[in-house]
Amino acid sequence: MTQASEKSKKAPFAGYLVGVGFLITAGAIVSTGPSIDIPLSDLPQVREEQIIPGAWRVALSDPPMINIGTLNQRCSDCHTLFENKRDQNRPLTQHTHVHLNHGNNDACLNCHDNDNREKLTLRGGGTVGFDQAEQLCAQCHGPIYRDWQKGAHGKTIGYWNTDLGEQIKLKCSECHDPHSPAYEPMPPLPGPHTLRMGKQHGALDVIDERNPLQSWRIKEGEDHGSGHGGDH
Amino acid sequence: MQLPIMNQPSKTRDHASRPGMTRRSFLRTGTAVTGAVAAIAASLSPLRELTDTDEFSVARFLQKHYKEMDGQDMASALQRISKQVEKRYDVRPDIRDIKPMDGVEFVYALNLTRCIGCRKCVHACVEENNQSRSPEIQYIRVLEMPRGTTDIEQGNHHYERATVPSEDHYYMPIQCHQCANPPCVKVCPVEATWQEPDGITVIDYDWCIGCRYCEAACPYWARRFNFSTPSIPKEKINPDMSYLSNRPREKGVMEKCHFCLHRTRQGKMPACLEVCPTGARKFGNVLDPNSEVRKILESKRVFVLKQEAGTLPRFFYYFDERDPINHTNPTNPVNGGDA
Repeated sequence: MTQASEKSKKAPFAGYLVGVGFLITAGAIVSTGPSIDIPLSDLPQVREEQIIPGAWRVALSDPPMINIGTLNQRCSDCHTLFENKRDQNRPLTQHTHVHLNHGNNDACLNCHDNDNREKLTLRGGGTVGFDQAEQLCAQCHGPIYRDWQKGAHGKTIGYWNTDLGEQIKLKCSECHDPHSPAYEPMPPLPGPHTLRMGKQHGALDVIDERNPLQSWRIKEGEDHGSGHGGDH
Repeated sequence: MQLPIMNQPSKTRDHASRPGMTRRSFLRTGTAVTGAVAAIAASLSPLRELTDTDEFSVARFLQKHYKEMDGQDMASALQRISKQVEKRYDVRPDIRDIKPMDGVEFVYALNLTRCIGCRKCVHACVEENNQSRSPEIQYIRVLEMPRGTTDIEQGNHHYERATVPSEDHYYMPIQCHQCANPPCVKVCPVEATWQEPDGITVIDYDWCIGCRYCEAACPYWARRFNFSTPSIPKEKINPDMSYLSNRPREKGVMEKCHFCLHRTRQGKMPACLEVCPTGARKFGNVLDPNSEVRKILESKRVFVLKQEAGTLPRFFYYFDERDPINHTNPTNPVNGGDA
């Protein structure tokens, strides 16, 4: 009987100790706190020049000024001195920075006016200045031009609300190089360092000969579907 | 008048003479109580180091809900936030509370034909909106999608490539869709997030309790949680701030894209649009019949993501109609032969 009562007396004391232990642990956790900060230097930093807003090319003005050697010169400074020849396949001796990669449009004088090099030539006759080059582009790129007119193609920056500020609708050559209009592939900025979520490559990204998107490539022996990226 | 207390024995003497209280039980109870008090004091000790400019402040704790604040309340809240920012980042912010304009409903349109997955929008957004650099918080997630699906579960936003775009993928950036029927707003237990008249769903960062219900409710993975105190380099702080958008956040609150509210409510374009090198991003007032987004919604082949969720997004995706005859230049997969 006495043993039993001593046991029942000891039990609550042990209970107190457990409680105190928990409280001290809780206090220690709250006061020190686990640190999960990632050092800033571990994240690749994006440089300012990689995310410049606005246009990324400068379009030519009317009349166009061109920098040859050290001087800013007008086209007519040279092109009145030398005779112009309509010769499509002659390698360029001047303007050697120009690499023409414009599909079927492979001759200088398709766009540049032969009589006045400070103008662009239109197909139906007549010329436009370099600041209205979109009229020239529209002659071949009708659907894109109409999209650009209504704003579905191209870049519009500044103010969406024209009452409050200027809205700038970039023209063709403020994004595209007229001699090589397709965008070059560019390196992407660094990806997120957050936890990965979801499937990293789904069923359609895995080679499966039953998949109609891939079966023809496999049959033709092409090396497609290997572009999963180097991160897996 | 008789004072009854005089006839009663003193309480302390009654305790001391109680037969249950022995020396041993006194020590036992005393040790337990002392230990408990010490533990509580230790756990509360970080509060001693707090000042009004730290995460917890009395003024912030007692601040009213955004919709209940009058001009005076807002002015003092902005002053408190301004001081806090100046102390923490050595920058004096230009912080305001910008109200929505009348007759404006914002809509975003994104041209999937043009997006090349360069992630410039992601990082321009981080810079504009004072997002935490570590741990990283980014509002825009650019998914690299395999051909043949619009199921975003199939997308990968951790792609690393020498150059983009990849020929076998297309790119689908996702950010807050500013839904007209937003599930995130419905689940918020404290009404810390709501839809404004111009269509932007905003968060009162001082009212959010960090339960993350909204994050779970959002079908577009658009909401981000500050698991840790955000860290932003001092020289990277954007001082152009507003209460509901890009002022620095605290640990334990949600945040998300707000269509650059501090820019767009003053007529400007959002930062992600300004930086896009291909012009894939379009923004404007859909109530204006001459706006670009209105013309896109009227004329292009527009769709929304997860339409079956019934969220009625204000963020639309569209494709360009391409001319297959001219698209024959394999060396230039991007914009190669659009007529």
